[in-house]
Amino acid sequence: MYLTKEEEAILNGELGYPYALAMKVLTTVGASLGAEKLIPVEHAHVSGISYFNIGDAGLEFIESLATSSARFHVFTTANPYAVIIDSMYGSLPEDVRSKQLKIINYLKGMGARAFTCAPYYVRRPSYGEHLAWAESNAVLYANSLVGAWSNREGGPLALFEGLLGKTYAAGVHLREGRKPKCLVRVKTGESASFLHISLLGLKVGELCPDSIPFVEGLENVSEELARIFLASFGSTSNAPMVVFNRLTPDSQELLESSDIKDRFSIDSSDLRDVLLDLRDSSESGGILYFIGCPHLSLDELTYLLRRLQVGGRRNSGKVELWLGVGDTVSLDKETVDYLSEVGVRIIRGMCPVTTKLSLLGVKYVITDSGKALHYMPKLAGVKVVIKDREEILKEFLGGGVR
Amino acid sequence: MRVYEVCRIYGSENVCGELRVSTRPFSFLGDVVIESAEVKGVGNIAQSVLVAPALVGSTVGPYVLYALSKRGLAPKALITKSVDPTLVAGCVLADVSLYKFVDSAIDLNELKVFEGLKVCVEGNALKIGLT
Repeated sequence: MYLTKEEEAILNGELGYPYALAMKVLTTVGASLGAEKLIPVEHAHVSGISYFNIGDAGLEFIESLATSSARFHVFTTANPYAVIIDSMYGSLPEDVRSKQLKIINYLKGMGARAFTCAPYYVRRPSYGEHLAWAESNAVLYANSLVGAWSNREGGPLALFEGLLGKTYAAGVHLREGRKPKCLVRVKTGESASFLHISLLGLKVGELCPDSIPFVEGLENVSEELARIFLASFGSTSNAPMVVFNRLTPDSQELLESSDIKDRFSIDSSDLRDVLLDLRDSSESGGILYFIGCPHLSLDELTYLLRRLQVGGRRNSGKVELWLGVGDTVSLDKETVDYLSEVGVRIIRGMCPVTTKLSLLGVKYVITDSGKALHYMPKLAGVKVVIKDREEILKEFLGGGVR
Repeated sequence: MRVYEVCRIYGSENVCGELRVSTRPFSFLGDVVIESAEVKGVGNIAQSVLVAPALVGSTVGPYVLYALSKRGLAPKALITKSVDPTLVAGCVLADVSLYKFVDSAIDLNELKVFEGLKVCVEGNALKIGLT
């Protein structure tokens, strides 16, 4: 791989151990993928923040970087952390909370600007901009809806990329890597809802597990719904991008350059079967309602708060509704107090999906997120029921499942 | 002597160690005890040449390898059928040599019977047994 004089000096330790290690990792990974050089990125987004995901080993590693004076050299955000607030369901063990706080503080000390799985709401990338993001829904959003360029980084890679402000020129950072290889025709047959689009994303991901799909039939969905589709898609596919016909910037050029190997067609009836299976769950006791995977936009939050404020619900003391948002979102005390009275918690900078909710006594999570549906049984140790957002609101305002 | 062709992704050209084989994709999340390097069904992987079809549990994998390495308990080498960027990152962090089998259809059960023997990677070959 070609390195500039400056990059070689960093590799040889001119800036110290953490940067030399970062350069060694990046150049080795890049070389293994055939990259010929490193390229600058405008924004890095680090994953692996929840203590439940990275454990003592991850904490130890982040601590070693932070205490070696490692600092991010480009705008860097991080994924949300485990839910460390006190809730109706209880609290996490003290040692878990203190270790999670250490991870947060080390990353803040290194310069992390925000904790959220929706970094595009903290700093919206520009068309054609190179990024080093490690959260699947965010990577998919950037590539598919903005026309920015980011691979799906994992583990400590984005952290190193944040330290250096660079990534390796491979994968979707090259035009060749952005070619769709899978074609999916979608027949919605009904107006797309959050639930419908979540399930559709999971299904398309299953059909194209390792290749970028070109999706026809979702030309008229809103960006909000496309975002939910992408979050679900990223749970069942490794692809870093979906090319939506007419919605993705340059979709026609990408179609012309495509190398389609597989073709599929989906209609609503395929999804109705999935839904019937999911509805079979008989939830009772230890129920948590959760909306905000991925973290809500300000528009979504405003809409939900309006619905909840006019809903006139009294807190039954049996269930809570958690709304997930980034930690840069703030609400006035009056609103927070009111929400608390009616059993609504704003979960800022945190992620219930990567929190062992079973430790809190939560047994069922009712959510509208296909991503949460996919990951929570394993990561959070709970059963998950997926319902439409409107249905969740109606049910919660009515006092919750009995 | 058995010889299997491998391709070096990172680290030394020549490495020797005790052979450990996982015939299932190997997860660093929950499978490895960091304080002892014990792995259920595989044995102790410290200083070993560890063979597995792939490594899963991408987020934590590099950190566990790093933690093992700080304790002197990391494998000397990993040989897998498929390699992803996170695995490469983990091996660089922990300074564990990484190789990929050239023949991805190789049946790892074949190697399982040699578990515990000292084996060497020399250049592009994993060599098992007496010369």
